[in-house]
Amino acid sequence: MEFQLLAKGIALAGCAIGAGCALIAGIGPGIGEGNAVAAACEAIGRQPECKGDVTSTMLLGCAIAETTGIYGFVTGLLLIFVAPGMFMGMLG
Amino acid sequence: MHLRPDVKRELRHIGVGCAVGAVVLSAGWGALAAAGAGIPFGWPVPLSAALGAGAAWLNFFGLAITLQKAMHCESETGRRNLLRMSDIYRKLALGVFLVAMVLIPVFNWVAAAIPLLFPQLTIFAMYAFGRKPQNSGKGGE
Repeated sequence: MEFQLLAKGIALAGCAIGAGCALIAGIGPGIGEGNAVAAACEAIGRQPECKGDVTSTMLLGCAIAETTGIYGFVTGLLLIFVAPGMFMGMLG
Repeated sequence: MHLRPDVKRELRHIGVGCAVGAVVLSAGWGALAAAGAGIPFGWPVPLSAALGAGAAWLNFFGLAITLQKAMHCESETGRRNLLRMSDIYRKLALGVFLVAMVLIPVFNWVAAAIPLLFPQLTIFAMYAFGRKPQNSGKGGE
C-alpha cells in the first residue's frame, strides 16, 4: 500500500517535472521569430522591391519555427492532463 | 486591418492545407478503425479534427497579422514586445483549446491535437513540391 502511494507520488512528480521541461521549448520560437522579423525588416529596407517575397518567406519561416514550441506545448499539456490519469490507472 | 496580398495568399494555402489534412486524418482514422486497429471512430473524430484544423489556421492567422503589424513598427523594442505578446496570447488560446478538448468527453483530443501541426506540414509540402519565391532573381546589392 505504501509502496503504491510512493510510486504514484513519483509518477506525478515525474509528470510535473517533465511538463515543466517540455514547456521550456516555448522560449526558442519567441527569440527566433524576433530575430527573423528584425532581419526581414533590414532586408526590406535594403531592397524594398522584394517586400512581397520577404514577407511570405518570413511568415512561413516563423510558422516553421513555431513547430518546436507547439510540440513542447502539446507534450506539456498531455503530461499535465492525460499522463497522470494513465499512471494512476496502471498503478491501481 | 488590411491584409497584404502575399499574406492573403499564404493564408489561403494554409487554409486549404488544413482542410485537406482534416479530411485525410478523418479518412485515415476511419480506415484504421474499419481495418480493426482497435481505435474507436465516430462523429467526434471528424468534428475534433475540423476544430483542430480551425484552431491551427487561426493560430497562423494571428501570426500573420502580428508579423504584418511588426513590419510597420518603427522601434526594435516595440516589435519584440508585439511578437512576445502575440506569442503568449496565441499559446494561451491553443492551451485553452487543448485543455477543453481533453476535459470535454464529447471530443477526441488526439484528433484535435494532430491538426495543430497541419500548417507546418502544409509548408513542408509546399516546398517539397517546388515552391519558388514570386520575384526571385530581382534586385541585388
